[in-house]
Amino acid sequence: MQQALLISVDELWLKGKNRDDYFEMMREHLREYFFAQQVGPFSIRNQGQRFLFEFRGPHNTIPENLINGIRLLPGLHTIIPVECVVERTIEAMFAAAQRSILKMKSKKWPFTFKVETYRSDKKFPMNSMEISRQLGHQLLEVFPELKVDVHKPDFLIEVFVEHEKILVASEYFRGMGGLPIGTAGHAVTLISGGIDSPVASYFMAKRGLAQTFVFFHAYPYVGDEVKEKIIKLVALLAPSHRTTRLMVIPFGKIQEIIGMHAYPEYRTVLFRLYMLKTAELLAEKINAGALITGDGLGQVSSQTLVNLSVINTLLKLIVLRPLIGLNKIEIIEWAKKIGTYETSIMPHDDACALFAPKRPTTRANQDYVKEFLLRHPLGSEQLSALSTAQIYAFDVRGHHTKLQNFLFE
Amino acid sequence: MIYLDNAASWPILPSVMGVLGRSLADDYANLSAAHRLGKDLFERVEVIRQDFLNLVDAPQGYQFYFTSSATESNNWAIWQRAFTSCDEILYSRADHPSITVPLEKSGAKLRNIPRHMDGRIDQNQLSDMITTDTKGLFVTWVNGQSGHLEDVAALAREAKRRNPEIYVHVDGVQGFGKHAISLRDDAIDSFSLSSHKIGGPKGIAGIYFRTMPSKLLLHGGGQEHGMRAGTPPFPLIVAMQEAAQWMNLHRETLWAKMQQLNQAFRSFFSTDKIISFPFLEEHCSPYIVMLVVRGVSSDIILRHLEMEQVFCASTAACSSKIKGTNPTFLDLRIPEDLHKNVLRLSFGQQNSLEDVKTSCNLLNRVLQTISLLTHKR
Repeated sequence: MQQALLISVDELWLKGKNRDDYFEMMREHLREYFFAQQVGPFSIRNQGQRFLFEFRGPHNTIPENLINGIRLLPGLHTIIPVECVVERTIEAMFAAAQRSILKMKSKKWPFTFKVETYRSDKKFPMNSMEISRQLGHQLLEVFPELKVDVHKPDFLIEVFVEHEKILVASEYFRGMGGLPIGTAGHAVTLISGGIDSPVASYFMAKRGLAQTFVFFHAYPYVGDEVKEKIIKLVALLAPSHRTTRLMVIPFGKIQEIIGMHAYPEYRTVLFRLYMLKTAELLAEKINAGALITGDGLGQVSSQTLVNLSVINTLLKLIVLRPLIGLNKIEIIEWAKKIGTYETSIMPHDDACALFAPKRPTTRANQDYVKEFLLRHPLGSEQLSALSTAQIYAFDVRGHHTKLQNFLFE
Repeated sequence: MIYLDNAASWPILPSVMGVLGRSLADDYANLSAAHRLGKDLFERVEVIRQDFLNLVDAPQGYQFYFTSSATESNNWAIWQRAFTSCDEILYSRADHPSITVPLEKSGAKLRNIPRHMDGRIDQNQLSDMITTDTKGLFVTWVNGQSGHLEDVAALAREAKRRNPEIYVHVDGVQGFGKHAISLRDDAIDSFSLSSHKIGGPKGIAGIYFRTMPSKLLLHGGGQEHGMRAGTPPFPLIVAMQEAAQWMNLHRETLWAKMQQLNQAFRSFFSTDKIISFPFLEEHCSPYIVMLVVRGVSSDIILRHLEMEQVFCASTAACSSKIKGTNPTFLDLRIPEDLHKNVLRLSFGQQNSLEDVKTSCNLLNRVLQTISLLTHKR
């Protein structure tokens, strides 16, 4: 029973001339993923709108976590595990269909099903209707407790009669959808350790935006433990990226200066401004074209419309805020769905809470903020923060290694 | 750089470094070997062993074994007794984990040694707890966190008076070399020590036993009189001897110096509003001073100090959202809400009065910065 995967792409039909390039990027991401998962020798072949992934060696089953990982690769519509039938006979197809029925047994029993056949090899002696009817009939004989439902079956058994082989499928998994990673460019994502920013990153990865992550580490006010948490979060998001990096930027000194010189009510707004400013500096260094944050309108004091726009006017780069219109509960649902929630809610030290004034401003005065930035550009502090950042590289599995700081080489 | 975390580990003493380097180069033979080189080393180890026995004034019958760490020594002392669930043991939750953890795993009935509100062991209550059913007493000579210095010889004598069968183990790690002790009166059954707390190298430690331990530690080539197989690390042994000798020779002057440093530190902050000293100077070893910084997590202070190249110890870092109860502090009667605010400074022979003054000023400055920023207005 040789297993394989049919992987179909999502939005590439929208694309015109650069479709081939997009397709190639998707295939490279898949190749890197399977290579990192150490599945042994394999091949990925283009089949029009989809890829056929085959193991070179014998493979009886496909582990669920391998499929779940593929679901984090942007640009894929569905992932269908299939059994390759070598003998081109209806008996061999039936045996495979029978096996896939038995595989479903653990999930639901009895159930309704339908057999659907796609025949691209028109030389095959039976047409698709005849194959479907024949297989359905034989299955009912063997499993009398099952029923056929052609409109809303619990399970669909699909048979692909191709020129070289026949594929039988019974399950399919939805991919993340969207566009292959990197096709939309490169951005810097501000990650905080909370629930929102990983979801924001996921949303933008879905649109094909490759990302470098930055975490502003309030050392010496906050210890190293929080770094471990951020590394865990980035590791969970890493499969969506072919390779990605996390920069842990020491920010305590800058926060200290802001804390000393600004009205306490303005601390939070100013912290955010200087974080985004520093991220912008980094973006310039690494040629990233946007910043990504997990802001949601009105969620906390610094995310009021006034505060967001006061900060925005002082930035050059576009700030993408994919969660801006989401309710907290919706963000939490997404975080659970993509698997970052449990890590996000692990308690950690937070400098913002430490420095937080009693009444942070919700309507920052534009002139004051501008004036503060003029008086305290903190350029050299930002540069020194970047040059002492700790940098981690993540592969497509989420495994990380520490890199030398290369930003000012 | 100012290193004030000597209770965690001392910098190696210059004379020890010399001895260690020479020995690593010259004394490479295996002391179990049949040739002259091996035999010489073997004989020298036996002389050093006797030297360690003399250092604590151990009477006839006592034996001393080299181990790899005080954790190994403490574990051995516990395992070889093979306590059962019927045995009642007295210990402190404030003891080092190398005592508390194996005791908890031993299955014996554990009872906590009572303490006064000032953190000292309550000797009267303790002796009332000792009955003929009490099979073991485990005490720490100098507590590694608070610096409490206990009269372990007197505790052991009193325990033996109540129950001559009781087994008394003393964790001597933080006290050995720094304070004087005598095993003369046979009351202490085992006593552990470590080399790297007195300026010796890591990887070597030891334990005294009053009588032959009931169980050997490692099977194999029969080294250490058959009790702990494994090639003895001669260079480490001779280096630990040098450290112990050096400490013995300089004990009085060191003591006086540590008192000076300790007092300088305490008096600098004696009128401070947020720094307080939970334990009295006269109850503690001058090598260690514990302070409570009200309202500021000590790990934040530790990191601020480390940025300025001053190193001390804080409570295991814990998040502001996690409560962070510390069993040692609880046992030492420090209120739970202050556990995150505990800082420990521990002095060593390399520290000067100038170091302490610099650290005091720095600590003061750091606290001002932190409170300015975290002050809620």
